[in-house]
Amino acid sequence: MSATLKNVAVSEGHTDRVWSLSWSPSGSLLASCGGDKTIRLWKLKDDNSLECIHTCIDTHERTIRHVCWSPSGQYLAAASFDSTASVWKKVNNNGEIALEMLARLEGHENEVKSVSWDASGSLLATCSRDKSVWIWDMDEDEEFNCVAVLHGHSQDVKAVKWHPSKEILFSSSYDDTIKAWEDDEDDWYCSHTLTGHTSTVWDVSFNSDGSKMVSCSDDNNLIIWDTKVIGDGPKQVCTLSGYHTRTIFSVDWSEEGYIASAGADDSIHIFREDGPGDSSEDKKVSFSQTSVERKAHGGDVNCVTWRPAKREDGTILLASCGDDNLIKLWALEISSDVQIMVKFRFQKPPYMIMVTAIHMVEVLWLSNHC
Amino acid sequence: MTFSGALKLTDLDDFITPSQACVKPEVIQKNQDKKARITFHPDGEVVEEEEDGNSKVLESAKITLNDCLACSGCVTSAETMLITAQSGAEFLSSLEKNKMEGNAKKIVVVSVSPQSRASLAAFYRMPIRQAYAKLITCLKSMGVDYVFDTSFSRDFALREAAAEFISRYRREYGEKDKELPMLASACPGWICLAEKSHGDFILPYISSTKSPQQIMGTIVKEYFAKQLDTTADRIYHVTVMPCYDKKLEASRDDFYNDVLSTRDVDCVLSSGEILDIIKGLGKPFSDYEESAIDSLFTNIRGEELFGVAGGSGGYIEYIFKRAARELFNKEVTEIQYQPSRNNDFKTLTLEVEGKKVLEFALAYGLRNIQNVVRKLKQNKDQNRYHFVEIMACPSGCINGGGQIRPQEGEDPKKLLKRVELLYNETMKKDPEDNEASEKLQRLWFDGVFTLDAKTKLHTQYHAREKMQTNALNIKW
Repeated sequence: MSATLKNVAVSEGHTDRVWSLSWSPSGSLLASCGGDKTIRLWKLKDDNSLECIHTCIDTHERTIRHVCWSPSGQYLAAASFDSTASVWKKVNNNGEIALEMLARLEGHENEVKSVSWDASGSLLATCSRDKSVWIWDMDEDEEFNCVAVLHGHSQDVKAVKWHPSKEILFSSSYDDTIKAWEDDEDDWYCSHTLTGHTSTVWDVSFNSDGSKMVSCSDDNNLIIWDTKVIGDGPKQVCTLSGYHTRTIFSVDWSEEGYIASAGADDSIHIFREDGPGDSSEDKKVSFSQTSVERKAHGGDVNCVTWRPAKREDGTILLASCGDDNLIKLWALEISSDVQIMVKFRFQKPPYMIMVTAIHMVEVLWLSNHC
Repeated sequence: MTFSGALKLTDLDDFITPSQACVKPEVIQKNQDKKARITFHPDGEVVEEEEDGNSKVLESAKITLNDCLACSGCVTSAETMLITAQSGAEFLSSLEKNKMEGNAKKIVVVSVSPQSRASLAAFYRMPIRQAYAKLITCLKSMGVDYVFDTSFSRDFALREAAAEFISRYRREYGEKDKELPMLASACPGWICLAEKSHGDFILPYISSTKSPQQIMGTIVKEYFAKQLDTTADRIYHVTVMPCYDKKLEASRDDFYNDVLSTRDVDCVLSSGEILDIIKGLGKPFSDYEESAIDSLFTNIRGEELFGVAGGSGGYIEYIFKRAARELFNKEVTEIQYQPSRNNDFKTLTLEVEGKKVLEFALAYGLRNIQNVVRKLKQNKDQNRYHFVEIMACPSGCINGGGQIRPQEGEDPKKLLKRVELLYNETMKKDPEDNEASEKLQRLWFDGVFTLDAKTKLHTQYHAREKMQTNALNIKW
């Protein structure tokens, strides 16, 4: 199987490196932040280009490291090196979309590195170089209360990410581990520590149903973890090595099953789990690289993120940003030489299968034709 | 070893831990613009050779406890910083040295906190009174002259804090518009956090009343010294506390006597450290005789030890009762907390004619402290709470970071329960029923919250300036 990335847009605007990107859940807006201490909102236009529609300046005193939209798309959280996190509300002033600051979350001793909303949108996690992970609860009045201050990592915590459906928080750190945090009657505790990487773990991401997690590291490897049953702890099922030649900073798993990873080797790699037909008869999980973009950015690629919704024409979009101050959009083009295995049973009345691209099988009901 | 004692005790990770590394930059005065070569020798010596051939050995930078207090780099200090000045080894060597001093011998006083007593009693599985009596024998065998009880000085602290609260409630004390809520001041971890992270904004709200440890310091170094017809520097005063941050508190400049170059508390030992010392003596603790408990500066009536309810010193309950009585003429006989979002956040309310006239809160652990400070900063709930008993450790001082750790295989929560049960065995008595300490308060300070009391039993806080901690000034 192969699928390639085609660069469809390059957006300038940030005046320093771009650190992080987050698509709104509908995919209509992309938020970005960076070393220029700004948060920018970009509108995705029909021609797949990005138009900057709003810029927040003078809100953080230092670099803004990470941004994350809430599941409702109403709130954006941002993490800054000025030791605070901020929460913004999306407002619509006569058709002009803007962000208004709702709360500033203080408490970390130094640089806040990452923020993440849980699936319900009421819990927000933050993590910092101070080695701690904090969990905040947003109530109906949009008030924030700290519900946990979690110590456990022995070093800088690089990223936090909630499980897509369960109330379990994952954090990854400079101490080479990933920790899972769960609560017991309002008291949060570290339920599992995942070891496998041999250097800093920079980021984690889940597949759409949360049964698997991928992590990326300074050891140049990606590790796939089985997170179906958390009980005994996530199990390492597969390691992807030999692809990246330098630190992998960012990883994102698309709804369609594609893993994008990017890092200090300026490249973006795309992987996909091998189907049962591709792999040997034993049920080992394996992944293959479907595409690589070697010079994706003119410097470190800091973040890659899939657009959560397909375009009307079925195009899957990936956004990336880097030390070259740029944001780029990529379309995943699926080559036509692929074999498609479709198990389909015709029923009455007859259906027609229309294949637009791999793994996108649209079924149309036709009245009296064919 | 780090500050993770509390963390292990309750399985909560909610605790103020030391920062990654000390980042206080060394400031070196340079007079001339001369070039120099610096050579690092394998033996650790660093030599600077100037152009004109002069060379000198460079001194290594030392970080003292005071540097830690003045620095905003960490929220609290790493334990390693504390060890040199305030450790079991220092205590033992001071006692040994003192034995050799002959006529210049200092008087050695140890003041033991009731939480430490309970921790020790739980460890040795014996009643508090028995553990305390054996501890006294043990200490005296080492050359300690007097053993006092900080629940005695705590009664001074409670009376002063209650009077201060009433005065603030009447808008007669403190900074304008910042009288209320009054925030408790006995927890040095919280004070450290407040001074370093929230500075001038939060400090006016913090009760000026000294902690029980520091009031005991004043009693011992001023009044007891006078009684003994000696001076403060002739007394070596050690406290035994459930908390490591008490070492920081004792080291504050505010509690240092410049004239006599002595501190109100010379050395602070944690419950765990005193256990190590007992073990180090070799003799099984149960083999020690039970000494008679000295009635001086000790909450004891007849044979029974007594104190207030509350594992963190009982501030919220006593101030609540006292304020209800004095401000609203209501006798509160039963304390009824309202349930809240977690066990470490509880509230107490007094209603008069359907109106909430007193709203108190208890907020333990960093997450709850954070919420209290947050609300205050947002100017929301500004007038909601009148008093907040803030303690840095989850479950309060009884679960302090310096308490004896659970043994191999012991459930930390069960141990905490046992310590609490033992602690609560002590007879409950409010400070105004403590005739001995009330009498001394009248004698020494002319009463509660008088000019004398305000001078001797209250202190000040100082905002620590935020430093640019990024020494390498990396732009990222």
